[in-house]
Amino acid sequence: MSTVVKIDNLSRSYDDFQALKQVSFEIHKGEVVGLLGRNGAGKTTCLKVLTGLMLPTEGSVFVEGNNIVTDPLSVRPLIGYLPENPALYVDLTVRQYLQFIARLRGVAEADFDSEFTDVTSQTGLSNARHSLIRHLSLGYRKRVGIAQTLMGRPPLLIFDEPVSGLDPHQIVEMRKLIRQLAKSHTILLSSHILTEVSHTCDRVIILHRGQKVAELSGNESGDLESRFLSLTGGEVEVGR
Amino acid sequence: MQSHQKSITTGGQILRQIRWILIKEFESLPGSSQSAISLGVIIFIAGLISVVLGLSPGTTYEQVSAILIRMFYILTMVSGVFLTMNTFVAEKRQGTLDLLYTLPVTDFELVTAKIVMNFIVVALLLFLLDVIYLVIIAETPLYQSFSAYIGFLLVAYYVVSLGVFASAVSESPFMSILISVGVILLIDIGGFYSGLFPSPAREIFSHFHAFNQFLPFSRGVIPLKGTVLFLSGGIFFHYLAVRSLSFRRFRGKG
Repeated sequence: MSTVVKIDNLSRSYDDFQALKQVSFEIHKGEVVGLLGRNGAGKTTCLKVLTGLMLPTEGSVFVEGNNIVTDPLSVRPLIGYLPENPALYVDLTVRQYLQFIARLRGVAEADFDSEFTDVTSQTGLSNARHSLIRHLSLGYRKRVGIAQTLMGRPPLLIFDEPVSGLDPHQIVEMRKLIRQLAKSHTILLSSHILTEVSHTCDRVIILHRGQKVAELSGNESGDLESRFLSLTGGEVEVGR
Repeated sequence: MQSHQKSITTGGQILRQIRWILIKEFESLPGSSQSAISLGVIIFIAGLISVVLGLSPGTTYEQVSAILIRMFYILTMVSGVFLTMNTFVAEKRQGTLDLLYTLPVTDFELVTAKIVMNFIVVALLLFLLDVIYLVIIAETPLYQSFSAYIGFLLVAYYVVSLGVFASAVSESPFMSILISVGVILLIDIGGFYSGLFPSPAREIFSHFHAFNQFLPFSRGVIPLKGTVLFLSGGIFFHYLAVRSLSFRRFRGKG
């Protein structure tokens, strides 16, 4: 299996606080990998470095062989990133917003309409294509956020807490969507909710206080709750 | 950081990315009340000034032209500062700056698109003011209206670049305005009191006095010194805005 992401001894500090300490792991093509940890474990920092939002203090990050620090413009088209709170231009319609993203990702004007139709159908936005984003509910806004990550067909999708703020019905739909996207993309998602990770991921990487403390494959993650508690200590949000 | 980027981007690619950001900016303009309010206030002030001048007994067309051009210089400064105050502040508040950082667009393209967008709005506004108030109402000679308009455009680039820079380093529109106005006043006050300093500081401060450098434009002349000052000032703040975005990414506050 080819390697899509390679993180090697990654460290990141904020002034005196070390948010990530020599984290290393790889993600292979077609995998859905969960980054699990308590609040403040370093999950978001790890994702921000991976998406180029932040530079690492030490270590290296490669996406499909391209170095995120020395060659960021080659890496960015390869990644679709959904932050915890979807970053949306609320004064635009869904179509205008997705067209803006597609254009910046280099999608040809002639290809946009078919890609827009595919992506909005895939994410359940068909009936909201021409709605102003400011008029959409949180669930729909998350969908627009995910649709944005798909424009330009990047091979790697990164979702930061994809179900946060959603109601139970929307969570189930989001899980289905992620599983569906996994057929054609490599996915890295972060969560602090155990059930979320165990339902959607093939492999789980557990971070605690900035360090990788475990890496569990699908068959090991059945015992995820007890492993997580023993590795990180204290109580954890098991699900909702 | 940007300077270490291996990928080669051609001029065409840069222009294309700037164009897409510009189109997005104009598409979201109707939803932004701030721009409409700023422009409305500016046009209202311009109208008010010309009515007051028109009603003053014994005022000649030449006097009206001279006063209007000076007032429009101030309006250029004010509109530049107010239109740009939210440029990056709003992106940070909405989290869309994070999104832009993850897309294949450079900090230079981003800043340039924002500057061009605000510059176009100010330039159109000044064109209207120039034609309506100077050419039609005050019957200012065309050559003088033209040189004044060139001066307005140069001042607009200078102040819009400053405003975009202030917005890039601020967390609120108020802070952005404070920085822009502070820099403008600091430079102008330094120029105003340049006579108090020994040479060569006197010449340097005098050169940076923006209003003095603008005056020849209002008399129908396009001076090299003023042109260089406003262009170099604009380029300087343009550069600072790009650097501040790169620095923000480096610090991890994207």
